[in-house]
Amino acid sequence: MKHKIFNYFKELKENTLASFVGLFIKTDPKLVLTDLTEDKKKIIEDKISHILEKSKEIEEVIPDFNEKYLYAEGEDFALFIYFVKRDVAVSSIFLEKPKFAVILLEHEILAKKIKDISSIEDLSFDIAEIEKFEKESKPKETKEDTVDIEEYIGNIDRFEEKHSEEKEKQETKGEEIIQNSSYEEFFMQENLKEKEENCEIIKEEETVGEEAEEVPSLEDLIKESIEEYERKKDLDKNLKENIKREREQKEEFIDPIILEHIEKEFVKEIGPIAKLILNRKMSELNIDPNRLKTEDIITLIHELAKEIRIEEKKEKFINEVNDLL
Amino acid sequence: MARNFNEVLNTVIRDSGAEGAVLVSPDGLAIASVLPANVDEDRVAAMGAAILSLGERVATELDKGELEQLYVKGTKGYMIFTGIKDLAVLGVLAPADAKLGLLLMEIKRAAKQIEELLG
Repeated sequence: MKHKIFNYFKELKENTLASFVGLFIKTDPKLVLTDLTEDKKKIIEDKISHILEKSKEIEEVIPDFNEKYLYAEGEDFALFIYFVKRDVAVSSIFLEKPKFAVILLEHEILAKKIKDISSIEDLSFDIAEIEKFEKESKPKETKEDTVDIEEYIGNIDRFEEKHSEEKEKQETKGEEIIQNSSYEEFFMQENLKEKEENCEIIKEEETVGEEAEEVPSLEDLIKESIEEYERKKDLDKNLKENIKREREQKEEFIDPIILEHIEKEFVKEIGPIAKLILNRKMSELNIDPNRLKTEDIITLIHELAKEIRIEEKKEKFINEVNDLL
Repeated sequence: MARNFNEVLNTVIRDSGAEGAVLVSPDGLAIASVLPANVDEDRVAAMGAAILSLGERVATELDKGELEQLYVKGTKGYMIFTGIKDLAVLGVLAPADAKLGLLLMEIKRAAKQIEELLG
């Protein structure tokens, strides 16, 4: 179960690009995943504990306030605390201004997953456990690829070396320089030698009667490993693109029909010129009707309200369109 | 001056659908407020300044400068604290069904007006 919880937090950190994610029980940090240094981590844990403590005081001012979340932001910084249960909170820190809606959504997803874990309040992770989980969750190294490519580069170096040696020998002997073999020929010769050596080794190792498996040529191996490397690179690229696409999809767009409603309300207050002003404001604000976001609508409403001179009408317009949101 | 502040607070309440607002000095003392009768002005002021300053300390530790805004959401509504440079803190209480986007926009506008008044 601990491993599961660890993975949930790791997922949250990766999905939100947070620099710090932590599980706090009461005010104690129980599981923290961070890119910060150990010293900074301790300080931040301490500060978050204080905030958690202080935020409980809201209940004294507004009884049964039942905090859901706390969000603080600066120019390129944000702190988010999601209260999963009374004594269980998840805290994240972002070293750039994130999209609030995405952060809230990701924390809500995590909260749903861990809310029903009955013994979560009694959980504690020690450093060794976290390190073990970290190791297990790391993708396996593509050592094979690296070796193969290094091997490939090594072979080319060897080819160049041998090629220039032969050239020198021929020149000193005064022989006619014969066009040297290509990479492929060189590798074939090398492969042949290697195959022979491999076969001998295999023959020695194999029990009598068993046939040695055919050893693939070095060229094939190189080809295969390069193909595999390219395939993995493509997979990685696709994965990144998918994550990006998913994130974009999470940012929900508002139905453009809202613009008609806004226009209707605006016409009521300002008259037939409303459509003209609305269109002008839309293009000034670069608002795409098919990719409408809440912020766009709010800015648009704000800008349209400015055009209504009579205060009462302005107020009425804001109230009406407010309901639409 | 206090009358001007009250006007700004009343406007932000009216335009955003908030329940109350309070303007707090950096040391946590209320400068002006328009709050529901059952809410203690001094406690809201002190609590807002305290939480905001704790958040600011986190930002400072990470060399991220000033904290602009902090909001706490509960089942009963929102408490939003906005730093107005180092001059004051504007606290707004809003019901749970308030439109957060609109609320934040109105608060931003009010904060600008208060900054002009204080500056």
